[in-house]
Amino acid sequence: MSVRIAAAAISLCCVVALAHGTAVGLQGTFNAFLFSVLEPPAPVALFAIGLLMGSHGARFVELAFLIFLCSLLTGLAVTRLAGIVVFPEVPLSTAALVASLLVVFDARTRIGWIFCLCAITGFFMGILTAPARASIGTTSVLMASVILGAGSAVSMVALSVAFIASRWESAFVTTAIRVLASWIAAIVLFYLSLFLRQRML
Amino acid sequence: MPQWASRLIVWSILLSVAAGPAVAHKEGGMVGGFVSGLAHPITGWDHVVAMLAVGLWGAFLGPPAIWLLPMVFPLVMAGGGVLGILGVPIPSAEIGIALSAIVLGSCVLFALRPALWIAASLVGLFAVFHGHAHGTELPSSAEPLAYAAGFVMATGLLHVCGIALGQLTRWRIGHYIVRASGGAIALAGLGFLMRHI
Repeated sequence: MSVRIAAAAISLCCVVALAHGTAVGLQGTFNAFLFSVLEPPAPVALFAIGLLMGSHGARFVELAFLIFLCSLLTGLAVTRLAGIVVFPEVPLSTAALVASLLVVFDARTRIGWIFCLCAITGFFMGILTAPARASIGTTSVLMASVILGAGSAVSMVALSVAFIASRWESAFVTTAIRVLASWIAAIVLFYLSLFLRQRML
Repeated sequence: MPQWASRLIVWSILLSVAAGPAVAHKEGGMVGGFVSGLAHPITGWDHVVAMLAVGLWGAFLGPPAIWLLPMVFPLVMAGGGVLGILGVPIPSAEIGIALSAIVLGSCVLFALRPALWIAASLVGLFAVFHGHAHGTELPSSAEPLAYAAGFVMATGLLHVCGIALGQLTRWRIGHYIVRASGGAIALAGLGFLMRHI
């Protein structure tokens, strides 16, 4: 009897499975959180900038991450500019391309330039969310979710790279990071040209 | 063989033959783009053998070529892909692809060890042809980022396969196997060349 009661109770506990729900734009806090991971070209831009931050060590990540977050917030706040920047995907992809190429060639760039790249990426990431936010109206909760999602993704990549590079100071790890960056650069190049062709046609 | 085992085998075969495709997760959007990008380099044998040859030669030359060549190839290939996507013509790209298999396979076969910059330039030159061919074939309807990610990852993984095969050079018999593989790649390249001439 108790088994039947338990079975009935469990069946009543069932809720609708949302695993395959569409995650388009910012139709909720959860989608806003995932925006930076799902909306092209945000994932590669975050990955590239995370690789660049992480390859300079954990101490560098703190300041670069702060700059990224501030510029992301600025990009989210400046909604009027979204109408002027027609394709924020292009500057965002270009920043990702430059960031990944800097990692590939292990270029000794001035730290200021790298901070600048972080700022550009964050800013245009914010602009990128504008059309989706405009469709449902900007709310502070959604903006916070975007910042949380993008911040988590960047910090995860950057800190993982910094940790792995410092923990195993070997040529193999450095090489693996550079090969990964070369893949990112190639992906961004292909994406940019495909994106521009689709928009031009 | 016991009777229950033979019955199990027969039923397994019957059930596997009767199985239809699962279409619950129909490909589309990001997933479809990624899968078609992943499949694109693998569907052409001329590309497959050339990319294997890059990894094989890199492994044969040892560090730093083992990582430099597979790093140069996708980057320059993407550049060639941009030319193809934008419609910039490169004459005889297919012949260039066939030549890449012949030359890179021959380099492995004859155990050539040129200077690093020569090896990288050679690989870069052939990567332009491969990239251009892919660029012209890329579907305009594909989801760009997912397609590009799948495409580059497949290329990189083919290089990794070549490098893994190249690790056989640690053993004496493996050395000959790797060189024979280079010969097979060069022969395959010759076949592709004859087809295109």
